[in-house]
Amino acid sequence: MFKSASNGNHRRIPFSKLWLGTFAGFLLAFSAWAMNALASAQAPKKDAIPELASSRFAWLAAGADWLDPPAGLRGPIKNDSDHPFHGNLDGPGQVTLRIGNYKDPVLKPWAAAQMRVSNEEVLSGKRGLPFSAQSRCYPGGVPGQLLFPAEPFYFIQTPKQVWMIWQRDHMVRRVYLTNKHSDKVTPSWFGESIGHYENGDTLVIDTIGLSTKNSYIDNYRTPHTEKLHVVERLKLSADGKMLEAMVTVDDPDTFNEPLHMVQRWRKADNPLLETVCAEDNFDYFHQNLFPLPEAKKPDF
Amino acid sequence: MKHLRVCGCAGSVLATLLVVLILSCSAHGAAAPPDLSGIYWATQYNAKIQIVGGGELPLTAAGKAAYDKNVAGLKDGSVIDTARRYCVPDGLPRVLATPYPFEIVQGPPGQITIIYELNHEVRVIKMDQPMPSEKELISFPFYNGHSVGHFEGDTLVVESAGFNDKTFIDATGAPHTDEMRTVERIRKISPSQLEIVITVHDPQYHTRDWQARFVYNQRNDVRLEDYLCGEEHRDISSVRGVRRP
Repeated sequence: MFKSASNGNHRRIPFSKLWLGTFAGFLLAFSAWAMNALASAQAPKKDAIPELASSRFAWLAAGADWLDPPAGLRGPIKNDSDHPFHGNLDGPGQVTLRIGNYKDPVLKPWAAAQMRVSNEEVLSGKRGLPFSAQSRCYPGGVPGQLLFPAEPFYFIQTPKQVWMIWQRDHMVRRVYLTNKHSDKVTPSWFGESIGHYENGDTLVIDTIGLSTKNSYIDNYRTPHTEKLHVVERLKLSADGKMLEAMVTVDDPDTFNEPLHMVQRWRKADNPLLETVCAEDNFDYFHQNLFPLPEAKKPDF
Repeated sequence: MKHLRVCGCAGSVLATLLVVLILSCSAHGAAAPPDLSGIYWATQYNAKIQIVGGGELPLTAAGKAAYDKNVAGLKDGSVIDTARRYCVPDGLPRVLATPYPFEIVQGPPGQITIIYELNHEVRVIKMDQPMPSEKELISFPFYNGHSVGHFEGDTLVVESAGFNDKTFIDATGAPHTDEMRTVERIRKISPSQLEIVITVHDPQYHTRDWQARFVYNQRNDVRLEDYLCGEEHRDISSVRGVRRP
């Protein structure tokens, strides 16, 4: 057809007809574009990604303890029934401290023993408050960091990476959107996280390489080894206002079977502010608090 | 009929091209910001800030007195360098001198985020928005200040205000007040190099506005690591001027 247009016979195309053709072409192109837009709006949800990141909103945790998983799954470590936990938000009554159930049969003996020592330290009054990563400016680790309440956390999403940034002491976790862990991972507070999206509403994060010093999977000071493998499935609710994490913790040297734990957040209209944990963070009530991270010698 | 078919077809092609052009312009046209995202790492560290044009910081009498007090205090221990000792944020402009890598993330939408490995500091730069009100800046002073940014051609221009007065200008203890305001001009000066020129305005302690320039290599081969005060960190011996105490 293009060839025939160049034939001498057909060279003189009436101007009005060219415009008609152009207009028809516009219509054609526009409708194609509109159809395309419509199609992408109705595209299978699995190709979409959940909108977790914004400069205007963040995610505020439901609380500082793991919630139970669906029935039939092994849940989180709870408090020692001899020392019931009564938190600040649990209504009238004497507030108590978190004393973990070291008698839980899922714990390997070394983990139970370590938790018992930690409990004794608190029960004996030697330490007025048990170690809590977030109040003493330590990273919460994975999955412990998900339990930070009171201040929200934020996402940044790019095609290759996701950042999770907690307002509290600006703790940063990075999730690389790839399907393979590095060959060699040096253990660190937040380990190495890789991830992918599923079903248009879920971010699945797989983490290994978690260091163990002062690192706990919950606020009961449940320890772990460097074999810890954590899978977090963060699912955005249909209305986009709630985020729920189903967390599976597998560490055969600490637990006799994997633990399944749930955390929830609600969307909060907060931009990211600056909260500096170590600012004026003193032991005002002489509780022999766990010391803050401190560099006895400057780093450089 | 054949005429119409031919010219209709040519018209269609022409129109489709036009539409494609218009659409792609609206998506990637003049408004598209340059891509500054990536990981950057300085090759040079100076404890004392190097000001453009050389010479000493132009301190007022009050600024000089505050500097002398800091220097003496850091020596006898009555002033603590909390950024190094307890890992609170370094604040501007000191954080620009970091010998550890940092990353620029162009996101989430409407924001550019700079994340430093050092003290896991996070700076939020709100794009194309007015600076928060004086009331807000005074009520919520931040170590790293409040920042708004916009692009001027290939340069990201970041204005910051609302600082606290707990941070130093540099590692020697050079002081600033909580009225300091800064403007950073951030741009790529080669495919692999980033430049930040900061202008500091702090008339209580500084007799005139002054500038400092920092250059970083793009290092997308590096992943930022966790950083906790008092722990062993990444080897930064490749950065000239770094002295491990």
